[in-house]
Amino acid sequence: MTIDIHIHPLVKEACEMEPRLFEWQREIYGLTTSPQPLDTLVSQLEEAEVKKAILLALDCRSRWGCCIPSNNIVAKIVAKEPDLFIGFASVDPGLGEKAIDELKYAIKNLGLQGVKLNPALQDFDPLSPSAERLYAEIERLEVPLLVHTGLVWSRKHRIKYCNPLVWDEIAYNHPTMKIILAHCGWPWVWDAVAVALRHENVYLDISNTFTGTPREHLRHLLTELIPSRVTERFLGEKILFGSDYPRIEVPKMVDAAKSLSIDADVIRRILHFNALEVLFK
Amino acid sequence: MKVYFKELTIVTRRSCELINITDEVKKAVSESGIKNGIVLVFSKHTTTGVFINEAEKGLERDIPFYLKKLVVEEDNFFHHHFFYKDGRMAVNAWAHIRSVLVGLHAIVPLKDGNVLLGGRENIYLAEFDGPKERHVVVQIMGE
Repeated sequence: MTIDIHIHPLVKEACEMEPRLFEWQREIYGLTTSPQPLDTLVSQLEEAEVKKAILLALDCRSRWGCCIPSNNIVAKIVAKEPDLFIGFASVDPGLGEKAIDELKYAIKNLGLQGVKLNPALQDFDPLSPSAERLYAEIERLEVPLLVHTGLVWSRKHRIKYCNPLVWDEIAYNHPTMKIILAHCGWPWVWDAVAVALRHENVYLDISNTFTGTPREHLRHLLTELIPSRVTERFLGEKILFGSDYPRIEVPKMVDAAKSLSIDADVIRRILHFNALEVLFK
Repeated sequence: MKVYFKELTIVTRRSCELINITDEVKKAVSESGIKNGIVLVFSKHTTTGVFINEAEKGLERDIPFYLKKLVVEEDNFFHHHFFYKDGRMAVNAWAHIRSVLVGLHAIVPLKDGNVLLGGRENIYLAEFDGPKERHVVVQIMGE
């Protein structure tokens, strides 16, 4: 059984709920491929034997005037396949107190079970006071935070806020907030690893494929850039599987993770058990 | 001469599969009212194929299996890099190459309202990088 911690539900059904969503996906999110029906995402998850998939909202209103997609849309898509999907809310630190209220509403009323932030697309400093207030509320609500770290290909956004090292300070200040550093912070992988090793509450996701095919990238990331022995001995309980659909197909990422030449128990932890710990304990 | 155009929407379920679309093509021919001419079946996707072959369960497994053996997925493809045009990595050169080998269209004669397929011939859409929503054009030209 596999849990995919990192899916952007930019599917046809979401675009029907918000007619400008495809335009925002192209212009702001930077992905120009046509949205696929939800059915094809479900088929991908079935083929990859993924039993739980985390769907992510992204609130970019203060910088770009849009959500890609909104918390409401994520909640509606989760409701279509409630046994398969778990929704993560997103709120915009730039909206101040309103963001706190919207976060409480999304968790308590919409049933979303975590938070997604992206300092590049949302254009906020992770160490800013407004972001700090948001973390305090996330910690109070006892939900995990998945945050983008590392490269953003789109030239519309800046990556100065995406170095994973800034999360050392935040993890230190919020020791009970579970923080997942997306993409292992690639290319600042060792910075992300250092933060994850220093803090019990920090995890890494391996979503997206920056350096080639999924097999090429995960092999590079978890057996070469990070030597296999470090992955196995130090990070076995820290790494979570994620695909980053629709930027990559889910079965290709699962196949790549399963093909890694590392200890089989560690692969099982990456695909399943580590996410269980973060989501449900 | 009359020209009739229909676009079929097919949602595939697997990363690699063959879908028999013969009945959908015949239905389009019937809707067209054209009795004699030719039928063009054309896929709009470069990681799919359209071909004619026997509808037999063993072959439906053998054809993808041997295409996979012929064009392996683990190799050093130049195509596998970030595409700014798409905003994502290209990771499916093997699907494009399989598509080139199979081809993207089939042409079948139409006579007296019948699609002139041989007794064992069926028209297939081949999915090489699914699951996805695919669009196949059926164009009928004749009188």
